[in-house]
Amino acid sequence: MAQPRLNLKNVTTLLVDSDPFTRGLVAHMLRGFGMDSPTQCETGSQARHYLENHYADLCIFEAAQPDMPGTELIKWVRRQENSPFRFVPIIVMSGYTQLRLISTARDSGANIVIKKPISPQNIFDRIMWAARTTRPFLDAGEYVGPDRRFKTVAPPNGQYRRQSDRAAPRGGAVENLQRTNAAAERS
Amino acid sequence: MSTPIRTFFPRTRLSELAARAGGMPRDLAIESAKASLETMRGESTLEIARSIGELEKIVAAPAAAAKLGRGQLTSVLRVTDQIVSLAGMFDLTGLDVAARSLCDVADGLLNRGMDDLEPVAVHVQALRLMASSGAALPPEGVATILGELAKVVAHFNFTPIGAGVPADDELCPALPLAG
Repeated sequence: MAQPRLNLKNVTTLLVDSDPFTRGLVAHMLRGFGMDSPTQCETGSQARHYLENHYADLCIFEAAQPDMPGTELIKWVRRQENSPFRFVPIIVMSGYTQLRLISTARDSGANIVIKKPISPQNIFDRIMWAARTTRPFLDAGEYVGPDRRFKTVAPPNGQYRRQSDRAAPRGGAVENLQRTNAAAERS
Repeated sequence: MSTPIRTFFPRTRLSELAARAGGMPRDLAIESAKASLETMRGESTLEIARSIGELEKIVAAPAAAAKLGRGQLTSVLRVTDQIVSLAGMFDLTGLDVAARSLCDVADGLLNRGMDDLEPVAVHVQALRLMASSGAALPPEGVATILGELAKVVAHFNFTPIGAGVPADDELCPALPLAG
């Protein structure tokens, strides 16, 4: 099988992490992928200020910043209606003590959440996924961000029972698929 | 009335740039990043030692005898979280497990409003021992230390921070590895 390739030259990255040493390590990894050095911020407010004046092709945020929850920064990005960067891919890195924030990070509009420790393999694959998949972007009032359903192909009709669907952990995604299938059948 | 859902199909600049001709094959990119990271191993080891030193200062200066305040426990969590990240990144498994255990202890103490110094102090001693011994510590020695730390956590019946966290495959879908 052919090796997948990514041309990450000239991709501008905003990296937000409270720890300068960790930022340095992630920057090393990104440069190893052929990316330019990322812009680094220590706090959420620094990141906001940067994004008000610059564009980034990719954002990598720590799950919690010293001055605000990481979710606040993500929600702020996603609600910039008149700015193209509301659609920017956001990868969230969660430290061990931030693991309980994973679900809230995902539900605040992050594309992907990575548990630390991160490795070149897991961060490259997540960047590749963010770059190569076409994921609808939803503005549903309370939730603004990429569609949280991972599977883009609906399963065959009749494969799911309503009771088990309700037990599914992905926020009604299966019910939505069923409604979509039903609408497609009617039309 | 519920808010109407608006759906967009944005083509991001990341997608456009990444799809250009050229670039690195996945394995080469990962190897290159690993090599780049490896140059930081020495500095990371020093950073871990510095962090353990910071923990030693915290446990050596409790606000009252054998007690840790909330601020000190919060600092323990912050510093130890970084040790977990670095140890995991450089495959220092024993340190990684011990540091996670310390996080669980500090988190448990905070959640229950407890202020015991001893369970934190014994973890910090274990971290120092493992970090300073490095490869000289035999696997059986590491296993013994980790076993004792596990007993401490079990004694307090603290829940690991990672319990109940979504699995990796719920956080990221199957990755498109085909060229």
